[in-house]
Order: sequence, then C-alpha cells, then structure tokens
Amino acid sequence: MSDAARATLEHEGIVTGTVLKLERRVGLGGPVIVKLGRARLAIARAVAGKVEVETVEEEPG
Amino acid sequence: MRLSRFLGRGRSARADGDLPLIALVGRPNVGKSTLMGVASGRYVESVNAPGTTVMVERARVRTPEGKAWLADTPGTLSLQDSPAGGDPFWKTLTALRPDAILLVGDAGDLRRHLPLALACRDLGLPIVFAANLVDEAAGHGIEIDSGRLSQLLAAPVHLTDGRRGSGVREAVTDAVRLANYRRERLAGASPRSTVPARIYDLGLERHLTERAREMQTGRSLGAASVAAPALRDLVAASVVSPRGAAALAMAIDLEPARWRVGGDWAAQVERRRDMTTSLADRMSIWTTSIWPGLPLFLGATISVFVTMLVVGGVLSDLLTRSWDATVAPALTGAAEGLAPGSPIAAGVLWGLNGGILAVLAVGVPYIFTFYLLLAILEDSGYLTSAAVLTDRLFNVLGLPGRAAIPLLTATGCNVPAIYGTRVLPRRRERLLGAFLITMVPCSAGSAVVMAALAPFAGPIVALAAFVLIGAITFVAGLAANAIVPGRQSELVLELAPLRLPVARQVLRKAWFRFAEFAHSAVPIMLGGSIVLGLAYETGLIWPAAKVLDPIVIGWLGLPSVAGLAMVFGFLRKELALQLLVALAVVQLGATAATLNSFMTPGQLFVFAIVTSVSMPCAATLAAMAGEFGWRPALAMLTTTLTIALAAGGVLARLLSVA
Repeated sequence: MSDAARATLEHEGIVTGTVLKLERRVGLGGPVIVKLGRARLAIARAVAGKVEVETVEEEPG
Repeated sequence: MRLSRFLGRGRSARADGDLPLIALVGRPNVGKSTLMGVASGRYVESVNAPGTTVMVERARVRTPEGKAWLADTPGTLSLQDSPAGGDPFWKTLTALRPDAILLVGDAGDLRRHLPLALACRDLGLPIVFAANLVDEAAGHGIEIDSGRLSQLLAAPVHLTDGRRGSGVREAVTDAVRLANYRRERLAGASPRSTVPARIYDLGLERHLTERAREMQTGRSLGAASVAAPALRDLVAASVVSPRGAAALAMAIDLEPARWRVGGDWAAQVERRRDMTTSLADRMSIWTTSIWPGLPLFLGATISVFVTMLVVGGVLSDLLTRSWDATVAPALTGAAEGLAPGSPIAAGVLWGLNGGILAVLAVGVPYIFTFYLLLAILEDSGYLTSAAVLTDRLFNVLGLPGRAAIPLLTATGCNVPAIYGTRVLPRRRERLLGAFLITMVPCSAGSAVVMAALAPFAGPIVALAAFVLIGAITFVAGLAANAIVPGRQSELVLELAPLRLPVARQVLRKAWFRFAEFAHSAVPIMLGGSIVLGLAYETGLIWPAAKVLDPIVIGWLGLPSVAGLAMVFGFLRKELALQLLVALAVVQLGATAATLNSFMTPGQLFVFAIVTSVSMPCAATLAAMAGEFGWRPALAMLTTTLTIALAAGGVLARLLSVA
C-alpha cells in the first residue's frame, strides 16, 4: 500500500479500533465498499487487502 | 499559482478597507462552496462529488458585525492532507492568514467531521462550526444537540442547510464577530494567545505544552522537528498560537487522538431514530453494483451522448440557418461596400463569418448542452458511482474510473470534455485524460470519417476506421501511462450521496462554465479563423501547400490540397472535408467536385484517420492551454500529430497509396 493510500485511509477515519461494515465487493475485480458511520467508502482491493480487520458482532438495534 | 494570485488580490483587498478574512474549511463534498455562494450571493463552483474546489476562491460578505472576506478552501481530509496535490493543507490555510475559521461539517456524520474541527481548534484561531446538511441528517433520523456540541468545542455551533440557506448568515456573522475580536486583541498592547480547554489525554497534553513552550522561546526542537523554523515564523507572525504550531508539529501523534475524541463527542450530541432505508440509499447501492449498475451506467452515458447529438444538432442547425439568413449577408454587404474587391477585407470577412459561425454551430449548441447534462450528473452525486464501476477498466490506462465521464462526452465535443477532466484527482491523471480526449473523434471528427468513407468506400470501411481510431487511442494511452512520470492514485473514495439536482443551481453552473469557455476559447477561434481567411484570400496559402507536400504527397500519398484541408481542419474538423472539395475545385477544376473524383478509397481512408486522430481543433487547444498551460497543450498537439502522421504513413503503405 502506498503512503498516500495509507494516509488517505487514516484521514477517512480508518484508524486502529474503527468499526466498519463491509457492504459488498464490486464485481469484476472492482473495489470493496465499506460503511463507516453514515459514509460509504470505495477502497481498491489492493489497498483493502492490506488492512487488518477483526470480525465483531453487530450490536442489536 | 492560483493561491499566489489569490493572495495578491487578497492583499490589495485588505488594503482597501482592511477587512478580516474568514477561511471556510471542511472535508470534501460537505457543501462549503454552496454555503459560500449563499453567504456572498455570488456563484461558486460546487459539485456533489469530492474534490471540486482545487483553488482558493474568495468573496466579500456583509454581516451585522461588518464586512469580511470569505475564502473557500479545497475540501481536505485533515490539515496534513494535500487536496490540490501540492503543499499540505495547513500551509494553504496559514498562507491565507485567516482571522477566524468557519468549519463546515456534515451534521449526519459528525464522527468523521469533528477531527478536522479539533485540528483547526488546536491552531489557536477562533472557530465557528456549521453543522451542515441538517436536512439530510434529519432524513436519516439524526438530530444534533448544538448546545452541547458548542460546549464541547468551546465555539459557536450553527445548524445549517447550505442549499436552502438556513443558518448560513448566522454562522458567518458569528465568524466575523470572532475575527474582529481577535484582530482587536492582537492590536492591543498585550495580546494573549487563545488556549483551548484540554481535550486529549494527560501525556499528549503535557507533550503539547512542552512543544508549545519551545515554539514560543525558539529553543532547539531536535531532529524530528523538520518544519520547526517555518512553524516558529507562524507563531512570531501571530498566524497560529504556540500551541497551534506545536499541534502541527505533533500531527502524527494527535490524529488518532482526534478521531477518538471526535467519536466520543459525536456519540454525546447525536440523537438517532430508527429509519427505513431511503430510496436514495437503495439507489446508491444499485448504482455501484455490476447489476443493475453497469446497464444504468451504459444507459446514462448513451443518454448523454444521444442528447448532445440530438439537442446539439437541432440547436446547431437552427443557429447556423439563422446566421446564414440574417447576419452573414449583412456582413458580406458591409465588407463589399467598405472595401470592394479587397482581398484583406474578404479575408477578415471570411474569418469573422467562419469564426462566429463556429461558436454558434459548436459552442452554444453542443457545449452549453453538455454543461447542462454534466451539471445534472454532478449534482445528483452519480459521478462517484460511475467511478467505482469503471475503475478497473480505466486503471489499465493509468486513470481512475471517473475518467469515463469526460472521455465519453468527448465523443460529442472535446472542449467541454477537457474541462470535464477536473473530476480527476491528480494533474497526471488530468493530463492523461486530456491526451486521450484529443484523440477521441468528436461529433465533427466523426462526421468527417462518415462523410469521407461511407458514400465512397462503404459503411463497413467507415466502421473499421472508428475501430482503428479506438485502437490507436488505446495504444497511445498505454504508452502515455508508461511514459508520463508519476503513479496512478489508488482508489479510496467517499461515495457521494445521491440527491435530486436543484434546477436553479444546474442552470447557474452550466451558464457560468459556458461563460468561462467563451472567455478563453472564442478569441482564439476568431483570431485563428481570420488568419486562415487572410491566407486563403491573399493566396499565401498555396506556397504553404508546397511546404506541406513532402509529408502530404511523399509520406501520406495524398493530393497536395489534402494537406491544406487538414490545416483548415484545425479551425473546425468538419471544415476539412468541405475545404478539401473546395480547394480541389480551385486547383484541379470542376471535375474534382466529388471526393472520389480525385482521391481513391485508400487515400480517403488515410485522410479520415489522419484528420480524426491528429491535432485537436483550435477551441480544444485553447481549452487545454487554459486548463494545463501552453507547454503541455502544445506537447499534446505535437504528440497527436506525430501519432496521426505515423499511423497515416504506415496505412498508406499497407493500402499501397504511397
């Protein structure tokens, strides 16, 4: 991942401890779309593949 | 640089009344430009897509607290972000020397907008927070406790709806009040710096305090403080507080803390109600899925193309007929009356007539129509969905997916497509996009290919010409991607919410963009037209033909007049074909009244390919020079001409016409 992409992810709020929701992967090798609060982010797979994630249970309600 | 131009104007403006300056700061696509337009009553470019404002715009505002300058800055993700591809944002901001900052954040997504507010707050400048887009937040069941947020930020907070104007005047008035207060305080005998309440954990706060002391005293800051001298200068000039300079130096440590605090504060001030998924949200998902997103994308682009062709064609025909029936005869009569038989008068007349007609036949019908369609697409928020869908395809050419929009619209007219490259985030990508646009046959270029080949070589050959032009463009794009230094940006893109465009904003945007086009391109179209007209009427054009003969006859295997026609095509592509016949009749006699009477199908094929791929028209060149500067524009002109001549020469030999 380039420094620019890493910085953009951080500026978008994807920092350690952030909870985000994987909305879907766009077909034909397109980016993944994640929900972060009310915002939706499209992230190239090459970048998304380098973000370490841990699955957490969705809070009820 | 645009910023220095702005600063120049800003300085003179300050001398004229010495007004305070309020910087509008916020993340991309949060409505800063719309808000500024409402506050100042003047047009400011705004798009429902991230990264519209790439330069600083300013406007004067009048409030109950007095007049002030309002400066619209590029949308930025943080103070360290480089939204215009150059310096980090904090340098742009501090170069403006703002007296206060009006932060614009999304009321429905405070968690992601408060960290930037905290960073600005840390600078020690007065801030006012405009929680914008409250209407959309309410639509998502989100309400904001502005009083509580004001307590936490220690700053005025206003709920605003920039598109309808509510709350905007109050927010700007508060910002002017605080700016005036700061200026009075700085002008006093013992100015005190603003020390915001402590919000970070104890260790960070202690570190900040130590660094702030170092900034103030000028003691050595150690090897890690590369930017320290510049930061100390900012403190000495009272642009930021010592703590503000320390916060800039400690940005890497502070940023995660700001996200934590922003998240905590957002949770405290937001009230959420459960809402069903809105139609806009569902459409956002559809438009970024392969199904039905891809058919929708194809439908949208074909609709733009067809609408441009149909509406543009009808308008073009109407305006051309009106011009020919009314103004053109009057112009001819005036020229003959003033200087009968003068070749110079005839040349100027020819140039004026052709130049203005070009504006009427291409500028108004195709370009204004395109700007209307583009404004609708932009304000609907659809551009980011298209960018996601086509990202992989355009990555091969070093372009992000959003390049699809200007490239497809270039098939109508190259000029607005050049301006359309503004949707691309980096200059490299804009240059690559513009280069490809110059090779895409516009409607006039397509007309040349169709009219030259379909009647005399058959529709299959015409179709083959388009396929060949597409292949040449693709290969040139691959080569340009490999040659032009720099890397392609990796996609990390916030998807704009889909919104119903507001008709008034769409019309205003289209009109102001068209005025910008007219200002830059029309003088060149008229000037070029007059020069060519004079060359034709005075006969100077024939020696020029001799100069071109080694290339035209020797390399491309075409008749001499074809070279002149291609040169005239620089004015307007479709002129190339009309002039080819006209010049052939002058040189070869009446028997050359049709293309196939003096050119073989092979020669026509070569002519069509070279004319279509080669140089852009004068208006496109002017647009490129306006957007990128003359050097890149001329470099692209030379490159496309070289590619066209190389392809033409090879084709001429393959088809045995040379």
